[in-house]
Amino acid sequence: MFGSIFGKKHYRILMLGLDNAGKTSILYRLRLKESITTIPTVGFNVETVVLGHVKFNVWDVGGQEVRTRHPLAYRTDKIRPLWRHYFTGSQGLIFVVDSCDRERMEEASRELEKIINDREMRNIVLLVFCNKQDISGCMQPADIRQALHLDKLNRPYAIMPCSALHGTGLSEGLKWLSEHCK
Amino acid sequence: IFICLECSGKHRGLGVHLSFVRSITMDKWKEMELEKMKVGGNRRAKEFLSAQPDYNANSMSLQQRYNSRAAAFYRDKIITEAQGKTWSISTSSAQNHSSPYTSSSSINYTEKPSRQISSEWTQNNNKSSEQRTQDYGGGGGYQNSGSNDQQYSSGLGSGNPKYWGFGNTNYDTSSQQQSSNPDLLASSISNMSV
Repeated sequence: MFGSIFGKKHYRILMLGLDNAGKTSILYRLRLKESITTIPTVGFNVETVVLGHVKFNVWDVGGQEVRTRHPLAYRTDKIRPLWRHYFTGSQGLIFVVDSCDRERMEEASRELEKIINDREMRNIVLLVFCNKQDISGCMQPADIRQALHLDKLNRPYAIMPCSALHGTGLSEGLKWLSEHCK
Repeated sequence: IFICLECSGKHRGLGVHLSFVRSITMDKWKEMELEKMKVGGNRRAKEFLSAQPDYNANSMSLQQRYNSRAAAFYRDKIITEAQGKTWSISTSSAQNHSSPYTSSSSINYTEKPSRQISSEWTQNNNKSSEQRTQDYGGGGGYQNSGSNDQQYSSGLGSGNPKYWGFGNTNYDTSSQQQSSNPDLLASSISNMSV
């Protein structure tokens, strides 16, 4: 990008994942450097996160499956299909999984597959945050890669274990995104 | 149990092994989740938990209550009854439950996670919570599990091996087979640097 020549990089990053994966917690941990108690996101949150010389415009879109009060949902009550409206213009995708939620890893995998197979997302750089690594007994990143079928993926991606609670792994993930987003 | 929107925030912070939150308006419900609601409910939960010796709603924090053996029993009871079986405390798999708060031995969540369920939410503002940062404790002392041998040394990482990531950053379109071959993938990620 033109701006990157002058060291002023600006990326639009979309953050998706199942409900209660920790998207909003990650966003506000990055933005405010503190852990907050979140409520289920109705609609979306957008924050600008600055890391070094890189600005990230991070869009955190609610993960619930059905969303009656969503601004775009006046005609449909399904929200996850509405993720599509946020695809255009995004350079990076952060997919957040709850590393403890083994039962819904399959569901997460299906949703991720749907997203990355979308035409609008064909050039997207994928970062998977394995959140909640602070909880003992959670799934390890290598197992999550298997569960999400990432080993079959033909595009740049990274898997980053993290904890929105403690703030670990998050800036490392963004740094990786900034180095691989076009 | 049914909880309000503000409580759902706190419950979501407990982890899905302790409390699983669903919205009655925004989530799809699985058949089993509905069954659990039928055999559960707030009054039954309260009555069961209050009758347990290790449970005290007044003196214990939310984390302590949901980590208690009483809660483990109740989770098991709900799961069993939702499947149409009869539950007995003496044969419950939660008998060997050890709470991280009442026992110094290892934290061991052997019981199946119960899916506690929330109800109609009312709009509320986010609240910052200081107590959460302390509750999980043990910030240091993470150990390399040894399970992911693809870890790379991160120049700017937290210095904590647990939070090293990996991926297929050396991907290029001319060699699509690369990412489908685990061996090649492993070698490609080993020289990735963040």
